[in-house]
This record gives sequence, structure tokens and C-alpha cells, in this order.
Amino acid sequence: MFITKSDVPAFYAYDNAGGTQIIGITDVPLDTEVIKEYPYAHSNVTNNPEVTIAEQGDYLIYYFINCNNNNLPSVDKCVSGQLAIDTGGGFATVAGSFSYGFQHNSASNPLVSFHRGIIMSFNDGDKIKMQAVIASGSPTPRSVISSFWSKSSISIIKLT
Amino acid sequence: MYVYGPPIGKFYAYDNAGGTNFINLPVNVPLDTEVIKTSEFTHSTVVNPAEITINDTGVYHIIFDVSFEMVVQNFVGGTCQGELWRDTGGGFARVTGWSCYNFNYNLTNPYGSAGRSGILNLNSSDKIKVTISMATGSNTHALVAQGSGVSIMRIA
Repeated sequence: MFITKSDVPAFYAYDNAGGTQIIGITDVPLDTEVIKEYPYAHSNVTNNPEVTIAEQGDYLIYYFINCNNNNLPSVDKCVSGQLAIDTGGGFATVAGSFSYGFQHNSASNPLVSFHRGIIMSFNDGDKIKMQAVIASGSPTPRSVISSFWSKSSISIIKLT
Repeated sequence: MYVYGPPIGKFYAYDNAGGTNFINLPVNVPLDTEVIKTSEFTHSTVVNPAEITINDTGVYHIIFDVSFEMVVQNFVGGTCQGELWRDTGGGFARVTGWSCYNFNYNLTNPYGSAGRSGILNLNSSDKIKVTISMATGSNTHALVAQGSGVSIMRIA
């Protein structure tokens, strides 16, 4: 028996433009869709960090964030990534979804990537997005000192 | 015969508390909070919480991530190393090809994460766990709360 179509619905999109500055907890844009099967809903333009899950189930979420130390000469810093879910009452941080990257203040070494893969349950209509925040660094305020480098991404597959 | 379908087993747990210290010797990454655990897996959040026992022989896709924070700085910089270990009955040993690394700088900017994914053939009763240590340097680190976890999917 050959099954030619996967029954593991997939979503993959990334931030082609990059450049969004990280000010406080900042959503990672997803301006370019690569795969968007049912039950995923997403727009490259309107609220593009958000992915809506239309069907209850367990899903693997893999997020990958690229950052640029773009205010050189600047300072060393750490950037944290996380997932946020909206189950109907607004977005809240997903427990256990943090990851971290260190950015050196060197003009020649400004880039860092960090990622996380987790399995979590969704209900019909839940929304998910990835975010980043400056987690450490001596400047005050800790804002407008880092931005997303292009090609941050999120992959989602439905497991059941 | 090729059949593509959803994974037939799922496990995800993470380290909610954090705080486990490590320097150069590998230290187990505890998983004190379970999110999903199907019958292919046995795990306790209290007793040996780093260890996951496989109940069914099969092919498994594993993703692990470890997040850490420098808490005592003896030197500027050092590399933290995450590793996957397996116990097939004779005690835990490192799984070849499953190391990952990340450079961590100083106390002012203390955070980092390391992780990787891959596919393993696992037998019933095998145990796996993730450890973290410093591969270079000797600064004391601690696991960051909610920053480490293990996801496993049985795919065949």
C-alpha cells in the first residue's frame, strides 16, 4: 500500500525581511509561507507572527530565531526566545519554551541563532507565535539594540 | 510498503524548576514537568527525573534543548556541551553523534542554550537521558528554569 499524501499536516513560514527591532517582548514576523496545509491559518501580511490552529490535537512546534546586534558599536547581550499561545483570552507565554543566545559586541560577529522544539496540545482556534526579548546586557534601556536577522522560522506538524 | 502517518508515540517534558548546577562533569538534566507521555514511554518527574524508559522497540525522533546561566565566573568564556546518553542494560553511555555546544561569555550576559535533534533505533527497556557540562572552561553554570526539555516521537 502506498500513500502519496502525508497525513501529518505541516506548516512552515519564515521572516524573509528581518530587521524588526527587539523592544520589550517582540513578536517574530512570518512574512513568507512555504507550507500551509489544513488546519493552519496564517497571513503573510495581517498579524503575520500569528498561526491559528483550527483543529484540536497534539503538535510539534520547532522555532528558530536569528538575531543581529545591529546598533554597533554596542554591547554584549543575551536574547531569549519563547512561544506564546492565545486560547481565547489573549497571548500568554508557553511554559517551558525558553531558549537563549549570546551576542558579542563585535561588528564582525553580530549574529546569533537559538531554537527550541516542543510538543504541546492545542484546541480548535488556538493561536501560536514566537517572540524574543533582550534577556541581559548593561545598556539602559535594553531596547533597540538588537533586531531579527532574516530567516527566523517556525515549523509545525500535527501529530494526532 | 511505505506508509506516512502521524507518530505513534509522543513524549515531551521539561525542567520547570531549573537551578541544577554544573561545571566540567556531565550533570543530568531533570524533567520535572510532563506535558505529553504516551504508553511507549515511562518517566517519573520525581524519581530519576532525567531518565526516560522506552517501552516499545522502534525508531524514535528525539529533540533536546538545554538552557543555562553562568553563576560563578572563574574565566571569561567557556563552551557548554549537551549530550544524549543511552542505557541498554549495562549502564549509561554517551550516544555517538549526539553532542551540541554553545559558547557562554560572562556574568553580565550569562545565558545560553544548546540543543539538537536526530533519529535513533531504540529497544524496549532502553533508557535515555540528556546531560550538560562545560567542555572548555570551568565556570559554574545553572540550568535556567523552563529552558530545557526533551521531545520524542516514535515514527516507526
